Amino acid sequence: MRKLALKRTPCQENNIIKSCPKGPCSIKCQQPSTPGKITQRSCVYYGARWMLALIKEDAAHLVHATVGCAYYGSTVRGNNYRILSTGLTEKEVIFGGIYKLSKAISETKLLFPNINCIFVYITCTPSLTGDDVYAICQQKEKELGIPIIVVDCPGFKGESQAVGHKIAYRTLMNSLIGKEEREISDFDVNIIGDYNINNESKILKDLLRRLGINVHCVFTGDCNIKKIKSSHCVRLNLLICQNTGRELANFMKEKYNIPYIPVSFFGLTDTITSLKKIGEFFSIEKKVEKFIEHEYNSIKDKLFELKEKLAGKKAALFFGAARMAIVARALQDLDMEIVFTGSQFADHLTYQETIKSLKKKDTIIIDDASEHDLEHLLEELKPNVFMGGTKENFLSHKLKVGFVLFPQPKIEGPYVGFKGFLNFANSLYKAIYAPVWKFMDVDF
Amino acid sequence: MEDLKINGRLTIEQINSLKEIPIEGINYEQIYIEKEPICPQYIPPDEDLIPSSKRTVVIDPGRICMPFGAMWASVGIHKCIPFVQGAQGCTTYPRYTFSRIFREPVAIATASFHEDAAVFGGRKNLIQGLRNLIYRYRPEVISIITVCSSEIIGDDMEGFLIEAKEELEEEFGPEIHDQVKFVIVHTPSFAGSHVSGYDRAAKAFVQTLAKKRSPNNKVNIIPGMITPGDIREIKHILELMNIDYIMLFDISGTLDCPLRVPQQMPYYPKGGTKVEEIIDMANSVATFALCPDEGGSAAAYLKKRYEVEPVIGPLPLGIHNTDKFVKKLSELTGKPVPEELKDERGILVDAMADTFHYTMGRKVAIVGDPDISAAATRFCCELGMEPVAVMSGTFSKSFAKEVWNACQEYNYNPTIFNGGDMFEWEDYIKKNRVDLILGNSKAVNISKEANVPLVRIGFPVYDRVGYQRRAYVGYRGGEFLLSLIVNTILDAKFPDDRVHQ
Repeated sequence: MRKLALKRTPCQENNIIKSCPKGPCSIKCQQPSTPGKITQRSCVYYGARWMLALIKEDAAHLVHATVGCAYYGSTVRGNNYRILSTGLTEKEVIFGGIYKLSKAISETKLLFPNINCIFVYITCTPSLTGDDVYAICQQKEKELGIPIIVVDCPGFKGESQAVGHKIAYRTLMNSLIGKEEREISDFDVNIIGDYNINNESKILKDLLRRLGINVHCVFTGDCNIKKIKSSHCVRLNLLICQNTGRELANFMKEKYNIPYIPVSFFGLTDTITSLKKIGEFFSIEKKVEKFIEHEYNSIKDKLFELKEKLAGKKAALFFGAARMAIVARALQDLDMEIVFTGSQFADHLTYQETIKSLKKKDTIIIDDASEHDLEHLLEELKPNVFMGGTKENFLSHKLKVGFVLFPQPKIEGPYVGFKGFLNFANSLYKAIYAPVWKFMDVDF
Repeated sequence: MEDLKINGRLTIEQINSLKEIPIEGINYEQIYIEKEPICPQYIPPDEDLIPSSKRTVVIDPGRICMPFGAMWASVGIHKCIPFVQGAQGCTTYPRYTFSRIFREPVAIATASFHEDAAVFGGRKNLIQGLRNLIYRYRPEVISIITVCSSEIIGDDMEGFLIEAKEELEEEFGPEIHDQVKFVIVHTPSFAGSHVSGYDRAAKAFVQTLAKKRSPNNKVNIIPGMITPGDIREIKHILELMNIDYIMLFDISGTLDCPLRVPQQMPYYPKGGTKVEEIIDMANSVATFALCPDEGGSAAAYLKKRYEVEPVIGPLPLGIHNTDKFVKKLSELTGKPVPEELKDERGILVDAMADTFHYTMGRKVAIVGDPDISAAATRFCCELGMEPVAVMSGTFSKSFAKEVWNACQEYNYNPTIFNGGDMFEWEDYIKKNRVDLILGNSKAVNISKEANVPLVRIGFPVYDRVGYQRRAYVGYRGGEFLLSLIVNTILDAKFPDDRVHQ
């Protein structure tokens, strides 16, 4: 900490604190990053794409930008999605890109006649040149007869991708949700904040179906325009990612009177409590308890084996999605110790929850850590395993720290549910006990 | 079930009859239905709108933005940190891309544009940002890279930099001018692609840093966007020929580093081109810009200003191009071609003689950056394969000319997509039979969909391990690429009992 403090600039002083369960959370978060930082954050457009890319079945995504933004936007969470772009050039920057956009929208409908909706993303370029995208989209909407939804997400619009997540959800709220009705059965729910990174949506749906609960729409892991339009016709919302989904859950609660419960299917304690909460809501407690017992027994032996090996090891967390608290609890399920945790864009509520769920006092919590900060923290605190995104992956290897990719475990199966927790423990085991780490030291 | 399968893939009826895909077993991603919905309601797109020249909308572009090329170049300099004058996404997206391809950490700083910068300009961001960056990292070079937003706002980078230098002098003392060099690269993405970004960076670095001194008898190499393995192979050829060289943007030492216990903090890769070497580039015998579109303008500048002989392209991939490269090297430096190199060539020729049964007459579709596509096309011709659809994501005159020349020589008549998008190229493959695709990882989708095997080459390859360490250029690289092509054909086209020798 001391060495790190020396290298910090005055404006960043408060984004690193030590956890203390009782006092107020004094962390400075949701602030713009200082210039010159090698930040792990991304832009608003990135956040919006992260949310909306998965609505792929019956929607086209048109990025009103230079080709570069579209190229980057075609890869979301390690998957490739079809992307359309207006491909702005110097000419449109000078004379305006409205004509090109209007033509592109017509062509999109001609090329893909099956689509029910077109998302038009506004990025830095048209937003600075001042294209009136809204007007064109309204006009085209009348002409083509399908909703053309403007996602106003120029990269500089907010401090991080979290703003993009919010914009994406607000776009869905304002223009799609509640537009269609459908029949509701007694056990219909939505899941908010699961992004089907590694087939999680499928697994969650399967898990709930075995309890007799029918998942209508998963925001945005498994949904299409039709499902989103009628997503207000359910009994309950299950809120998984609180940072991104809270606003939508609140919106549905106020407007359509649908209650929501925060749940998490990551980690043993969380999965069990969440299932119990759901059981309580639908009054199927007995069924749930039987189910939990059955599932727990099926992984018990293997889990104890892994737990023995993992207990007492030190872990560090840093990722975008504000799942710090959830992962912290899951790691503590395995009797692991957390040396530092942090997030790129979490809000105060999430930090408070994290501090509450940390068992150990004085854990370091850091908001919007730069690469420099992470390097120093890893070097000084020497965790056995570090969890984060792709960018941090290889830095951690350079510093001889095992790495678990989260929340995009592309390589090692999904981490949700009971079997997923086993996968998670297994990943941790692999990262810590990989023989490669002992070959890094040479004695000649 | 077996008889319903066409070429080992599920048929339309099967996919439609699947109500639930089991969680274990088939992965959802394996059944590729999202790109081209295989269902009765599917309506094929309008024929007139398929060529990209006839429509305004770009579908699945094959090129990235300009700053990316400039960042790629800057990363190849020793202790250089690119400073991107734009929003955070303009750094984070490239960092993801680098990490996914090279599996190495890449440090790129951002000016963190927010709404205030969009309104009031990025002056404050630049001055404060450079100060913070130097304070924490002490780099030797900072390349200041502009993006769309800062160019549209009209940030006067040169003016801001003068101001920033004054403030830096106040804080760190006058010696900061010797410790840190600044290079400004203007890369508004709406004016080109990553290819021209690299080109502009090469020119900017040479323009800013190179200085005339006494002749050094070296050759300059501007490699272009090729893999670290390729750069090592080029170095190997030069070392065999006993030629001293300056490798500009040497990513082989920065984006492919050994994993050893860290020696210093902050982490800097050991390799990369030194500033001293770039300064010395003005005094060399010749400049070899291996990719005409990536580095050609820097070579032209060195000729104009310092009379350094330029040799622009082609990329030494395949027999003809490598021969040309080696001959030119020998001609300009007066060094003979060593026996070892002739032996390496002989090994490649031997490999070609051993395998032409498999390659001759195969139809191949090629996609990638202009220079790599053009060189790969010629190599395919040399192997007796017929290039049928050749695409470059970036529009390039030299690409069209080179592909045309190569194919004329071998009497082929390919469809050339110059500056096209993946949509039209994929459409060609869907409608016409091809035996093999040579392309980057973006071609995986069409390869799965049309059931055509893919050989990965070029940029970006993010779904295979170790490809960045392999060389495709030079004679040894050609041998590796040939083996890759033949093995892929063997896997896809021949039953197991017919692949034995």
